[in-house]
Amino acid sequence: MSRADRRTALTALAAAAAVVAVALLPLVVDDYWTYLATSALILGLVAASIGVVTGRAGMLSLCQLSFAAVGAYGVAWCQAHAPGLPFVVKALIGTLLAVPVGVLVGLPALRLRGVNLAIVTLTFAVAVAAVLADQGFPGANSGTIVERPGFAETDAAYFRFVWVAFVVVALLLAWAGRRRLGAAWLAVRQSERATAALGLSVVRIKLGAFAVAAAVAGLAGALSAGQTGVLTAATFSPLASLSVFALAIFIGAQYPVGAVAAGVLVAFFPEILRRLGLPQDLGDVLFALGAIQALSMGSSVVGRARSALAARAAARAASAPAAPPPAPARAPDRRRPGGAPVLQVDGLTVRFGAVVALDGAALTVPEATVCGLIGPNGAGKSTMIDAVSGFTPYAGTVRLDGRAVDALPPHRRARAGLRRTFQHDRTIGALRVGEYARLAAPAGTADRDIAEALAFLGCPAPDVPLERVDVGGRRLVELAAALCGRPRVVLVDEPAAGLAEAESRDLAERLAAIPERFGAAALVVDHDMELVQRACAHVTVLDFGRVIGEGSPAEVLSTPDVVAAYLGEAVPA
Amino acid sequence: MGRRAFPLVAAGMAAVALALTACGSADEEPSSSQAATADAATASSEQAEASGAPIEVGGLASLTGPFPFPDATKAAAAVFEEVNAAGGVNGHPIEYHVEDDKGDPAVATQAARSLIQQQDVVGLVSGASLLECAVNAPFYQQSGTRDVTGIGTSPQCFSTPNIAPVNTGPFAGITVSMYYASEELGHDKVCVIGNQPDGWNDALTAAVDRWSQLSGLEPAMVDFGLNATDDLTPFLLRAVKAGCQALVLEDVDFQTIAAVKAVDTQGIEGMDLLPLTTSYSEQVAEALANSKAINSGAIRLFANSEFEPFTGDSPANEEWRALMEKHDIPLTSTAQGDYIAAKAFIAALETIEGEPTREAVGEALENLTSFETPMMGVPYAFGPGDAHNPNQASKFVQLKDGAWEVVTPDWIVLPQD
Amino acid sequence: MLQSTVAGLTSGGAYALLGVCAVLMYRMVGVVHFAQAAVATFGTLVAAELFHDGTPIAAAAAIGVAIGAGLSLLLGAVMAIWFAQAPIEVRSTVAIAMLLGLLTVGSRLFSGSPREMPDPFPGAAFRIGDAVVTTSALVVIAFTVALAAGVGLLLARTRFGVLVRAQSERPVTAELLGIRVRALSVAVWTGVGAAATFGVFVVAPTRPSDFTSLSLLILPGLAAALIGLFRHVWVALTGGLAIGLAEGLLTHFGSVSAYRQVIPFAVVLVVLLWSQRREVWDVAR
Repeated sequence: MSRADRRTALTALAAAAAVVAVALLPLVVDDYWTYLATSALILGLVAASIGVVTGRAGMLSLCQLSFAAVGAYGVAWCQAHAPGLPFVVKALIGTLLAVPVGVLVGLPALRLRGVNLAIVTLTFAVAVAAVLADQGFPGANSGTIVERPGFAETDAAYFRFVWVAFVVVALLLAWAGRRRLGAAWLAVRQSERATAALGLSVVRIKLGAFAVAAAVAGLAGALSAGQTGVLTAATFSPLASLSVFALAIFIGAQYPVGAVAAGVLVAFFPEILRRLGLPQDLGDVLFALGAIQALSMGSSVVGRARSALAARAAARAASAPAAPPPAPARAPDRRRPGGAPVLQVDGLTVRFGAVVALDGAALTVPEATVCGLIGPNGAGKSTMIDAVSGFTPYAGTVRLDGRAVDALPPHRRARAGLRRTFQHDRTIGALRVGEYARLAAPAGTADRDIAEALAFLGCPAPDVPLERVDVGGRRLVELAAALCGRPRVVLVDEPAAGLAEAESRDLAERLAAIPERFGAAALVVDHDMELVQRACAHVTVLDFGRVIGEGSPAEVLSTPDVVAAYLGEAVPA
Repeated sequence: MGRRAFPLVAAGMAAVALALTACGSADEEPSSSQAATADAATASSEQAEASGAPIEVGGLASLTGPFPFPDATKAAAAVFEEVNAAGGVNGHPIEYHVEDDKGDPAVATQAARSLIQQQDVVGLVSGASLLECAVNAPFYQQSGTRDVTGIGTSPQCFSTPNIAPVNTGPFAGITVSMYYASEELGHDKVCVIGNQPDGWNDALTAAVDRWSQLSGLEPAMVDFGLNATDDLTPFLLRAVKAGCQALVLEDVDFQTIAAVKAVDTQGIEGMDLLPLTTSYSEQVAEALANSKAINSGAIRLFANSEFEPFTGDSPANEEWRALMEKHDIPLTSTAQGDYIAAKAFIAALETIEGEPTREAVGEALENLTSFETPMMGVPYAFGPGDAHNPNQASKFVQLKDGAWEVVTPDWIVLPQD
Repeated sequence: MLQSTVAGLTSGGAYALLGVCAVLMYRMVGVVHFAQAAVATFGTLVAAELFHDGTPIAAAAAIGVAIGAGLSLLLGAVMAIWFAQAPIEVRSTVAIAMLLGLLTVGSRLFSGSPREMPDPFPGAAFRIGDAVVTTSALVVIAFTVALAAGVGLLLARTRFGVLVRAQSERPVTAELLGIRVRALSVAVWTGVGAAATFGVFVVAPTRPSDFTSLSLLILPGLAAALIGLFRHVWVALTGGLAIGLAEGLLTHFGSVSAYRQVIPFAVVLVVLLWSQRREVWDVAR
C-alpha cells in the first residue's frame, strides 16, 4: 500500500472511530451534557449550511436561521395538525419546505452579488422574523409540544438520533464537495463567466447551492423543534443569523470538522464562563474579539489548519512537474481548406452604447482547421469571441455545424460544442488541475483521457492545485479543459501571453495538432505572428470592427492594408 | 504593527470592555453564581442553628440581554439570607442559585437544566425573564419542579401547572387596566395597543375579551402589532382617530416614554394613558417630569401597580423597604415581586415535615392555597390546577408633577366567575 | 391616513441617514458597517447620561458625537490595519463581530434605566392638514441631504476627495503611489461615525431609546442602502424615506400593520431585480 493510500485509510479509520466514540458519549456524561451536545450539533448543521452557500459557492447568506425557522415551522405545523405522523416524516416535511424558500431567496443571487446579495438575505431575515412574531409557531398559543420520535424520546437517544443525522449530512456534503457539484460551487464563486464557459449552468448551480443550504438549515430547525419541544421566534432572529454567520466564517464551516467545532464552541463556551463564575454576556464580547483575532491571521481557523497540513504533505511528497511530451514527430498537414464549415459568423454587429465594436464582421471556420484571428489592439477580436460564445449581446447570426445558436446562453453553446478560453486567466484557483478539467468534460469521462489531454498541452499533473501553477501554465490548463469538453470548435483568446519564446513555439505545434488529436477546429486570437503562422491554416484580420483581409497567413501578412493597420499609414508628403 | 500585535490590542480591548461592564453594573455583583456563593458564605458565617443539609433553590432571570432586568432575584436572595441568619427553615439553610438566561432561548433551556439536573434544586424562585416560562414550562413539568415566579411575563407563566407567578401579569393587567378605565374613570371608548411576542396572541385577545364580558363594552381599538423598535406616533394617531378616551399600553417603559413624547409633539389631548406596571418606576417619572401634555393636564398618565405602590409611604411595604435598604437593592416593583415570591416559598417550605425533596416541595406548594400579605390585593395561592394567575388585583397611580401619586386607596380586584 | 404616513417621516429620516452612511462607508472604505447604529447609539446614550447629570444639551451633544467619532476611529483602525486586504466575507464578519460586541457592552452599560432623552429639536415644525411634520424629522432629513451633497462635493472637487476615491478603488495602487491609505481610511470612518452619531442623537427622543432598539436601526438603514445598490447616495436617501413613509402608511391599516417589516424586502426585490435585470454576469471582462 502506498504512503498516500495508507494515510487515507488511517484517516478513514480515525474518523470512523470518532463517530462511534461520539455516539457513545451519553454513556459517560449525564443528561445535561448530552442536551448541550445536541444543541452543539444542531448549530453545527446550520454552520455547515453556511459553509455550502458562502464558504463554497461564495454567496453571502445572512438568513440561514430563517430557513431553520421554516423547517421548525413545518414540524410544528405537522404536530398541530397531524400529530400522528412519525417524527422523521415531520422533519422531512420541514426540511423540504425550506427548499423552495431557499430557491426564492436564491433568485436575487442571479442578478445581485456580494454585499447587495448579503443585505437582500438580511432583509429577508427581518421579514421572516416579523411574520413569525406576528403569527407565532403553530401550536404556540395552545401550548402544543413537539413530540420526539418514539425511538428517541430520552435526551441520550435523541442525541444519537441527531448525531446520525449530522454524520449523514456531513458525509453527503463531503462527498458532493469532491465531485463535480462541489467543484462547480467553487467555480461559481470565482467567476461566473468561467463557469458558463465550462458548459455549466450558473443559474442551476447558484439556486442549487441555496436549495442545499436551505435544506440543511431546515433540517437543523426541524431537529431543534424536536429537541426543545417548544419554539420561540427569538431563536431565529436576524441577529442570531448574523451571529452564526460570523461564527461559520471565522471557524471555516465548509469543512465537517469546522461545522462540529462551530457548534461545540457556541454551546460549550458559556459553560466555561459559568464554571469560572464569569458573567454570561462576557462570552459574546470574547467571541467577538476572538473572531476578529482569528480572522486577522488570514482565512478561517480550520482553513488555516488544513493549509498548514497540506503544505507539510506537499513538502514531503516532492512533486516534479510533468515533463512535457515531445512535439508531434511529423509536421501535421496544416493546409486543409475547404472542409464543411463548423462555425459560421455572419453580419456580426456589437455596440456598446455609441461605440461600434464590431461592424458586420463575418468569418468561417472550416472543419478540422486551425484558423487565426488577428488585428491591432482594440480591433474587436476579444469582442468577437465574447459575442460568438454568447457572453455579449449582438446582432447577426452564429451557426455551429449549420445550426443557429443565437438563442442559446453561453453554457449551452459550450455544451453544444462551441467552447472558448479567456484572455485573462479564468481558471478556478481553488481546484486542482484535474478537477478543473473534469468540470468541462462530459460526465463519465475517464481519468486517463483527461490526463492525456492535459499532458498533450504540457500542463502540470492533475493533482497539482491550480494556485501553484504559474500564469502561462494556467492558460494551457484552461485550453486543455476546453478540449476535454470534446468541442466542435474552440475559440482560443491569446494563449501565448505569458509564455517564453521556446514555449510559444511548442504551443504553436500543439495548436496545429488539435484537429488531428481532438477532432476539433480552432480559432486562435493572438499577437504573436510567428505562432499564428505556424499554427493556422487560414487567417482573418480585423480592424475597427471590420474584416479587412483573409487568406493564408503568408498572403494576409503581406497585404498592404493589414500592414498599415498594424504599423500605421505613412502620412503622404 | 504586525499581525502579532493584534492579540495585545485584543487583550487591551477586552480589559477595557470588562472594566466598562464592571462600571456599568456598579450595583450588581459581577456574576450570578458568585452572588449565590457570597450569600451562602455570609449565611453560613452568621447562622448559628441552620446546620442541616442545605435546601437547594434555583432562580432564573434575564439579568443581561436586549431587555435586561439586572436587579432581578436580588430581593429573593436577601429574603433567603435573612432566613438563614435566623436559623434557616426547620434548621436547613437555603442555598439560592441564580442563573442568567440572557434573554436567549437556548441559554434559558440550558440554565434550567443546570439548575434542575446538576444543582438538583427542589424548587425555583425565579425573577423577571422574557422567555423562561415559555421555553421551560414543559421541562419543569417533566422534572416535577415548581416555580414561584416573582414577575411572570409570557402566557406560559400563567397557564401551565408548574408555574405560579406572584404578580398580576400583562394579561390580567390589561383586563384590570381596561376595567379601571371603564368602571372607575367612566370611559366607554377604551382602547389597547401593545407588543405581541410570538405565542401571546390568544392570551392577549382573551384578556381583552374578559374585560368586554365584565364591562359589557367593546374596545374602540385594539392593536397588538407594536414592535420594540417602532415609532409610536402612527399608533397614537390611530387611537385619536378611533376616538379613544382611554388607551391601555401593553409595553415596556421605553415605549411609554416615546409615546408621551409623541403626544407632546403631535399635540394630542383628552386621552388617558394607562401603561402596564413596567412603566411604574422612578426613572419613568423623572423622564416624563417635563412633559407638557401631562403637566398641562392635556392628558393623564396612570400606571398599574401589581403590588402595594412602593412610591408612597404605605406601612404595608415597611418590612420590604427595610430589607431592600439594608441590602442596597433598588426599590422597584420587580423587587416587590421577588420578595413576596421568596416569602411564599418559605411559607410552603415551613409546612414540610420530612425531608424537603422536590416532591415534598411540590406537594407543599399545591397545598399553599392562601398566603396573605399586605403587599397584595388578594392572597397568593399556588395550589393544584393547570393554570395559575392568583394575583387578580391592582392599584393605580397617576403621574402628577413628576411624581407618582396613588389614586386608588382600595384595591381594584377583578371579579372572578 | 396622511397623518400616519407623514408620521413615518421621522423614522424615514433616520433610515435615510443610516442608509447614506452605509453607502458612504461601503464606497469609501469597502465595509458593510453593521455596527454603525450601535456606535452612534453609544455616543447618543453617553450624551443622554451627561444631560441627565446636568450638562447643557449642546455640550452633551458635542461630547456624544466626539465619543461616537472616537469609537469609530478605533474600529476603523482595526479594520484598516488588519483587514485591509481581506475578502468581503471576512470584512463583513469583522463588522458583525463588532456589532455583537457593542450590543453586549452597550446593553449592560446602559441597562435598565430609561433616561430622559435630550430633545434638541422638540415639537412640530409645520402641519400638512392634520399631519404633523416634526422638527427633528426635518433636521435629520436636512442633515442627511447636506451630508450627501457635502460628501459628493468633497469627493468630486477636493484633493482629499480624489485621494479617497483612489484608495477605495485601487487600494494597493494608491499605497504604492504614496497615498497614506490607512490614515485616509480611518479619517473616513471617523467622519461618517460622527455624522451618524449626530443623526441618531436627533432622532432618539422620538422612539424607544434603549441600546438594542436604537442599534437595530441599522437594519432598515442597510435596506435603504441596498436600494441604492450601495453605490448611489441619493437613491439610498430616497429609499430610506420611502421605507419610513411606507411603514407609517401601513400602520394605518390594522390588518396588514404587522407585516410592515416585510416592506423593505418586497421593495428591494421588486426595485432591484428590475433595475439589475441586465446584470447577467459578475465582473467585467
